Amino acid sequence: MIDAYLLAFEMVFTPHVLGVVLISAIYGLTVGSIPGLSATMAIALLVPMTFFMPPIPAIAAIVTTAATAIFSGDIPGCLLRVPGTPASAAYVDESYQMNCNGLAGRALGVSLVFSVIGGLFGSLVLMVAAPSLAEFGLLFSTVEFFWLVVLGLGGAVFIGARRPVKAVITLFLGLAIGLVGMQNPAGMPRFTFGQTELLGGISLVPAMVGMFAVAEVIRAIAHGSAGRAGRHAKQVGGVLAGMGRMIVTYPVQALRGSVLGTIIGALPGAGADIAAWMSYAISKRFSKTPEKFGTGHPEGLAEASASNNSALGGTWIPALVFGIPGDSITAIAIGVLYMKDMRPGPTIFLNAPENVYAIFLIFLLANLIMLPLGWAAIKLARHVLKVPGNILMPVILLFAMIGSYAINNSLFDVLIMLVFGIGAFILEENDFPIAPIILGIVLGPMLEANFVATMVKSNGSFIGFVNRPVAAVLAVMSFAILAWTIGSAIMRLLRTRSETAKAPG
Amino acid sequence: MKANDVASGLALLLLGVVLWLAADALPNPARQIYGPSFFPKWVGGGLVLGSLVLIITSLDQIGKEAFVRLEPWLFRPVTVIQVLLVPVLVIAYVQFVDLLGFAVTSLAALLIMFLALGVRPLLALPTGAVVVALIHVIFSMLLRVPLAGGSLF
Repeated sequence: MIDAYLLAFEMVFTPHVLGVVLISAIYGLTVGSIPGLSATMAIALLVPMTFFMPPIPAIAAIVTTAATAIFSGDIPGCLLRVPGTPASAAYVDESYQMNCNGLAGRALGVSLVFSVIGGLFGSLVLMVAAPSLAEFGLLFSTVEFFWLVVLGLGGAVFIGARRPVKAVITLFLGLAIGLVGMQNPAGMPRFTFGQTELLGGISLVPAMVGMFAVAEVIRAIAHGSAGRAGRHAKQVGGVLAGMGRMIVTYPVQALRGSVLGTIIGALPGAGADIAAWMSYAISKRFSKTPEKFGTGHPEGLAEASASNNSALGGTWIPALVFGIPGDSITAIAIGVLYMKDMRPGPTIFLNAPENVYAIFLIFLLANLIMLPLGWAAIKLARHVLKVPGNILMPVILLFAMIGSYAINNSLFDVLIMLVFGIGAFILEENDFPIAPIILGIVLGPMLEANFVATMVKSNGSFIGFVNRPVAAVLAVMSFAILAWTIGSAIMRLLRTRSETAKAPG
Repeated sequence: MKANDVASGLALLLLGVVLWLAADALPNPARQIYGPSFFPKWVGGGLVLGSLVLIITSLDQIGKEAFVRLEPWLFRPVTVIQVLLVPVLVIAYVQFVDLLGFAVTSLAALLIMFLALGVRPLLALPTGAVVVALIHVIFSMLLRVPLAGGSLF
């Protein structure tokens, strides 16, 4: 293991990789601090470029961008009361309130320092947990993988949406999109409509760029935010002053936020945004002074900032060990790992441990570099916020087009991007969540392969899916999630029915 | 355009049925037991089931919400044109890039969009030129993507 780590050190600490980390950090901080552009979108636009890099810099770019974008989403939240990314939405009011009290510097300082603490914690857990889980994962056969995928998809549904049934539907849409092409166990072309371009399946990157970037451009134009002038914010001072005392004052909050964030992240289907909401609520629940929450009090801010950044490390645990994404960012990352011939799964720790350890080191590096660069981002944020939407949106569209083209040098992919962008825009206008589609496209072929292999092995008997102990446990968990989702949906429905019945008129 | 959940449920139900039927019609020349249509049928079935649940749980929307409601922006001609520019420019790019080349086509697309969204021409032109140059540096020079040079020139 030491040897592998030494090798990983050599792989990471090269000028090329360090340069990529630096540029990605600047990119992530910039995109994250622009309201409306999420960390997922930052990643989606980045993927075409990583396609041309060797594996380690490619992963470094993704990890660094994600970590920095999730932190810098806090900046416009504090200065303008608009969360830069969904992960910052939970505590926007709190940090904006601190800004109103003249404490913008302290609010962002807390966000930054506790983001770094949470991020480092999540990375350390990833480093310890992933290899031992992988040893366990080596015992898995197609049945267990089938259930793991089901569990991953189920998780996406039961946490991600206001109406779980809508997430189920978009999940099946994603699975349906994953059917296209001839990469299926039967080896037959399916739903290609005679297009040779579709024989290899719908390319993931253009689809993703369409859904996360083009849909956002259309939405901004339709709802008028593209025409909006840039926003003005005041210069922020005193960012890191007094932060040592903050850490001494809130060690429990930092630890609790980091632990919860990592766990939430590791659960399939939930990511940084949900972690932040839960941590903020828990912080308030256990606080000695809950009445101060919402009036510009740093306690919940510290806990939730640690939480959303630690979630990032957590989401990579199932992603690396089982190839099952914890959220839409890791779903994209898994796609990149496959492109780079680093098949995620328990065997990645046997075949190329140095690659995995290199990823771990990059996690630590990305979180450490965030401290100085994040400080600079806070100082420079008011200039970034001045860029008006009507400049930004056309530029994003052009980058999306060229990026989609670049993967296969195919203009067909540019049209795929457009179709997915329009489709995602319509779905989101009707409150259908988009992230399950990505999970469906990524996991669909895996689900089918394991499903068919297990059916063949068991001669078509469904007993084959539950007659191994681990498989049985995973099956029970999947059905528990299903039952819980259906149960809570029915409860909610009955409650709204009785409320509307009670309401006069 | 906002459809209520019953309407969107019906549309998705139809899609599920079509998917199931299309899957059923897939040829299976090797006579595999779990052939190409096996899994797609499950997906189609799941889509049908999900849509049915959506429809049934949303039945109380009937009478309260219109089946299809047009969003306010659809009544602002300027906004509609701005939105339609996105697909039009993407398709135009695909059509013309081989003829005109990457630089000309993307600069034109960018400028049209800037001006349509109300950016001042004096700002639009230099910004567009810088962005196109930046993309050229990143994709063509650093990543060595063969961006079309244009057969016209």
